[in-house]
Amino acid sequence: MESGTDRLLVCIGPSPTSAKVIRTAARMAASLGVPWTAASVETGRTRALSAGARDALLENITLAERSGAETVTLSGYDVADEILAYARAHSVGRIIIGKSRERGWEALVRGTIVDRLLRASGDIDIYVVQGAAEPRPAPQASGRRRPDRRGYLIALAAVIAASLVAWLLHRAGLSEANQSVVFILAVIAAAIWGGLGPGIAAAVLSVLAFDYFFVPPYLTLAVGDVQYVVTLLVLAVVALLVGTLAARLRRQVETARMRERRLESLYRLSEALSGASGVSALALAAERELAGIFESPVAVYVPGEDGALGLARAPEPQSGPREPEAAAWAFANGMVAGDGAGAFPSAGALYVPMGTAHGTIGVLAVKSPRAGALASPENRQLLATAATQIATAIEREFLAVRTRASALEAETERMRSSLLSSVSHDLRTPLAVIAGTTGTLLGLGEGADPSTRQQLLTEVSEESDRLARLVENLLAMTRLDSGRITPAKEWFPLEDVIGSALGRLKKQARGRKIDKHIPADLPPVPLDGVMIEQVLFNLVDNALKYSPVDAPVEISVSAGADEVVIEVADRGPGLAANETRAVFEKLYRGTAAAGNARGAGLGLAIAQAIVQVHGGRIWAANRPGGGAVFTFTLPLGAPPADLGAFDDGPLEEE
Amino acid sequence: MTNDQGVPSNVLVIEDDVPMRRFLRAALENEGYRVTEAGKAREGMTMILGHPPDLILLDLGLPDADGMTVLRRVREWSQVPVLVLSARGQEYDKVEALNEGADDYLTKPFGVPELLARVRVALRHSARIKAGAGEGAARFESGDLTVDLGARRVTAKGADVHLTRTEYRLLALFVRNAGKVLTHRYLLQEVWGPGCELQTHYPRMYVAALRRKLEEDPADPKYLLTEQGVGYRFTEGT
Repeated sequence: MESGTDRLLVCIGPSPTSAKVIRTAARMAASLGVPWTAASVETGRTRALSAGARDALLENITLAERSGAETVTLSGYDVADEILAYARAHSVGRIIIGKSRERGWEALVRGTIVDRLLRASGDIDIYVVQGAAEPRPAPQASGRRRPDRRGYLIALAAVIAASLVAWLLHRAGLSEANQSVVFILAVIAAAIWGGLGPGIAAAVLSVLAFDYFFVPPYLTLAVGDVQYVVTLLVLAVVALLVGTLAARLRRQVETARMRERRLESLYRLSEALSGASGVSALALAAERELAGIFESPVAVYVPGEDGALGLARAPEPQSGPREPEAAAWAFANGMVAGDGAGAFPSAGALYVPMGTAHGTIGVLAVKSPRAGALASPENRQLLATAATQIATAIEREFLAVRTRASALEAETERMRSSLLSSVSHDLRTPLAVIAGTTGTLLGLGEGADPSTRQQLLTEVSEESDRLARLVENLLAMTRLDSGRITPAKEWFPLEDVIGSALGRLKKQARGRKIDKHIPADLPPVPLDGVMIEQVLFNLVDNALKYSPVDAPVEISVSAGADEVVIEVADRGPGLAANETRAVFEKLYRGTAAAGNARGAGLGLAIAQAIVQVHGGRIWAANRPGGGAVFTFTLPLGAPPADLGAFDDGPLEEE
Repeated sequence: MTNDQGVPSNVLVIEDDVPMRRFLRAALENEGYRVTEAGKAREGMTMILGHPPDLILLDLGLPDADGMTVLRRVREWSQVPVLVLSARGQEYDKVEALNEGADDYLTKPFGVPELLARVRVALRHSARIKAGAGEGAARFESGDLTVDLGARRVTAKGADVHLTRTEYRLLALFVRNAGKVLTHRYLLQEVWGPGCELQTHYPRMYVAALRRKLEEDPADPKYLLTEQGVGYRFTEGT
């Protein structure tokens, strides 16, 4: 909602003269350059409007929308009060209203809506415009509903019943005061069940019946005694007042009930929205909830990366509304389109733009069960509120994603800088050894003792290896960190990867014992060979590094129903209690072997990252009997049906 | 090292890094090869045309042209063995180079023994083809494994081995290309025929089966080695 007190508000109703008022308001808003709102107030009475009047109201709302107004439907008992309350809450500076042609006692007693607005407007300017009916193709009914025959029958029956009871009381010798109270009861009953009209009718009938049956001379309308004139007058006034009050009570109850239903729907929607995360899930929750309320398919559209509107969730609905032009129009103009609205009125669904303070972010589409079914002000109002709720939820989701992304970025940046400082140290150490050693060798020249020379050269070679491994790990980590790496999974016999990892580890193993426990009937596993080889290489390398040279390293594999479990165990000093998680962190170095093992602490972090992108788990624990065991799992899939074994008889038979 | 006419084999090194070239020259000359050097692709191409070498060591990352381009141009008219030098993490490049006709590859950083072994295998292979002896030997013997392609007889771990037809076809292909890395695509084409190029698990399953029949320890093989991400290499065992 824009701020400032310049907003213009126009009151509209079902009257055909409202059209002119709306046009006047549009012109005024345009010349002032301010946004404007068209408000209709829903009271108990408007809900009782005839179908023709409803259509007229709707048409006026649509006209206002088309003319660029934001439309609202307010709900309450008193039109003037509601309009002013809304105006104050939304910084409205000017109110435009058509000259009222209200008739009837309420207008006489309380003044017309215009009078009341003027009285209570305070610092808000009120413009009263002479409305003019515009020719309409269809005849419009007047505002009041037709006499409801049932209500009047109730009134008649109530009065008859009251007369009978009063007659019984009369026979029992009770005074007229008691009899009149019975008639009041009848009026209340008629007003509550029948509404205002029947209430008034009951009041009039009651006065007549009382006069006819119980005021002497009996069975005439003449009044014999003057004191009965007072009784009759009091009865008439009390009956009318009570009848009006009861009817108003009835209307208020109805309004409250409707508002409660609407609030409940919106509450359920907001519950559903708050329980969902992700745009797709939000859309799905909203669609489900609203489809329940409107008993019709609902779809949420948001613009995709190409800007074209698409369903906010997958998969495509079977029966959801799909009218791209209408949806696109609603999105582009931020106005309601489709069934019964100003634009695309013949579409099979209603398209409500979902807007927040930052603009329209999508379109809510509701399939119409029948033409015009969604056009009622209540439904439109409910949909508009729902659309705003969904829009806010989706926007919140976008913001959350953005926040997460920037938090991740900051974390990555922090990691990167600490990695850099640690790595630069690890890179410099072997480089210093190589530079120093080769410098020494050059300086010694021919005079070097052969055994010294051999020793120095061995050192250079070892440091180069370390440097190479470090650089390789760094590159692997960088690739994994970039998040663009997805494993290229293919079917592998696990021995294949274990074998190639061990092949690369020949130098590190230096003939050490590596025991393998691999079941013969292991199914093939979907994995990225290069990546999982790296995991095994890092785990076994680690085990070799952190355990005594005479202790074997064990690799065990077992297959469950839906995953394969691979263990790499050593007989080293094991892990401290707080280390089982920490070892997988970047730059972490085991306390156990701080002296003799050096590296950048990347191996296990890389292993973890690779296992995770494979959808597996990795953890560390201590072994019974001493040593550490690193375990990782890889999900199994349905193995390939075709193993390439066509034409595969024994060779001897060829 | 000499070729069949008793003349030292001529190795052309196309590599832009000078210390790398110096190291390769030292290592190769020490083994008796004659070495010529080129720092750029264009220079390399001129030398190949002017004085055809017996073997080319080709770096994939050259300053003036992609090493792959040199490889393709050479393969248009020559079957000279080409060894590609590349880094780890570039398995895709290696596979592409091998599929484009490179004979083998070396992953930087590599040791001298590895370099000499690859050069020896490539030269031996090309000499065999030149001599018209067909693709590789008819008989392979190393340690406890013998494969007699003439007699279709395979023995391992001291006993006859019974193979299926596909297994045998695969093993025969490995034996004829002993020492060379064979890509999945090549194996699929040669053993399973066209249309199976995407079924990369076929060779893997069959190599696993062969290992179980031929190797002492199938999970730490001596003969049938996996070059992860690239293919398989059949070696004489170590």
